[in-house]
Amino acid sequence: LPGIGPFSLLKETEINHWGKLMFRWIYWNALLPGKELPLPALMSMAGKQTEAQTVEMAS
Amino acid sequence: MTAKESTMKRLLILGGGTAGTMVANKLRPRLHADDWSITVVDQDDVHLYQPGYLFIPFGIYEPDDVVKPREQFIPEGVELVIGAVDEVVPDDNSVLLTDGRTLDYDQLVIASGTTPRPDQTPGMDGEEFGKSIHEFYSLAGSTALAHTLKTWEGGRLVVHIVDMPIKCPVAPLEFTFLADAFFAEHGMRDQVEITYVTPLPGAFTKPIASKYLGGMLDERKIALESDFMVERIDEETKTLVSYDEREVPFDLLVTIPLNMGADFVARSGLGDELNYVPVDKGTLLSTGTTTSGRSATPRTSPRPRLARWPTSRSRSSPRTSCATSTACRCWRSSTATPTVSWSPGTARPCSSTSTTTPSLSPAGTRCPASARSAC
Repeated sequence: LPGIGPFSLLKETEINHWGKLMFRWIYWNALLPGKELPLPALMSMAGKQTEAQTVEMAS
Repeated sequence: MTAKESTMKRLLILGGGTAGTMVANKLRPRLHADDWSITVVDQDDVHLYQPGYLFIPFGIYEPDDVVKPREQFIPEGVELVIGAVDEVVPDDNSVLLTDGRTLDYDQLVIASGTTPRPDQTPGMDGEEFGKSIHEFYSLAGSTALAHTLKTWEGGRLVVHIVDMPIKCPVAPLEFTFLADAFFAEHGMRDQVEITYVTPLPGAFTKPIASKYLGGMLDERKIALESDFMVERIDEETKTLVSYDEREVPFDLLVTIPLNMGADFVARSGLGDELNYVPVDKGTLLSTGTTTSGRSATPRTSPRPRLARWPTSRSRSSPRTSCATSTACRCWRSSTATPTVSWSPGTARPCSSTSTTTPSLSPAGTRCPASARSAC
């Protein structure tokens, strides 16, 4: 998140825990009412295997 | 109906949960109120913050923390209809409610979500359900588990996933880590043996995450039982039994039941074997109907898909009536590594106890333990 992120997804950190609890406020006040979020529409592909790579590995 | 109303187009949204409410809120400002009516249908006026279920068993949240009136989040200019959907009739562009009402539409959004179905696993929803067998994917389930954990004196805690896909695939792991912390804080971690039982080959769906999270389980002395496709739960012996005849005993089972879409999706002929509407992943338009009515639903966790049989007991071939003459085969797709699928047809005898010998796929890859009877 701008200003406070990025969170480290695969490490145990206190900020991850508080971020999870903070999400409830975001859910009720921003996500559910359909407000625009300051996040890109597409997820980061960093560290992810694309479909093309999967096909290539399989062959 | 006024002349103006008769010329308006109608957007009908089935489900006022996260997706349905967001769709209504996103589209109301974009669709001119003179041109489009928007209606949301749900069976009650209670909106539940489902991510909060995870925290209720440990007393971090109370049930009241996750409940608000649904109407509070439905925007002005959108009608909320309280009623249960009986069937979608795409040929008529209409939706029938169980109370006899009919709602017509020009565009339909199916956002009825996914629900834990303990009734789909033999032995899960019997006498022990809510006592030694729990789930936390519903408000009632997470609340019941909170009551149990308050007085539980320790023993074998088994956290278990029946099958994928489930909504929030990481929640079972989060629950496991929270349970580890909860018992440590209460000074009873050494009295609890935790086992994580999953149908996946590792702790998680993706290899890198699986490696890290598997290591975190190890560090906390949490046992991992992978590739475990549950056949049934033996309530008397309190044991999980898999199709390949492994057994995992428990004193307290926290399971993620099979997740399924709404039954009306099946009744309407729009769903796959789990009552999810197949859609184009780029547009979310239904790919399963060729009628003028279009439907779309988001899937919360599309991969990996594991081998499965028709699960709904309401269907024509329920698990309990498996015929020994039925056969199936399984294979691993050569173009999508995580995808494992099977179809009724050939090669594999239909027997719940015959899965110890793996079948071979057409490409020669080993069928997982999840290959099982076509019942």
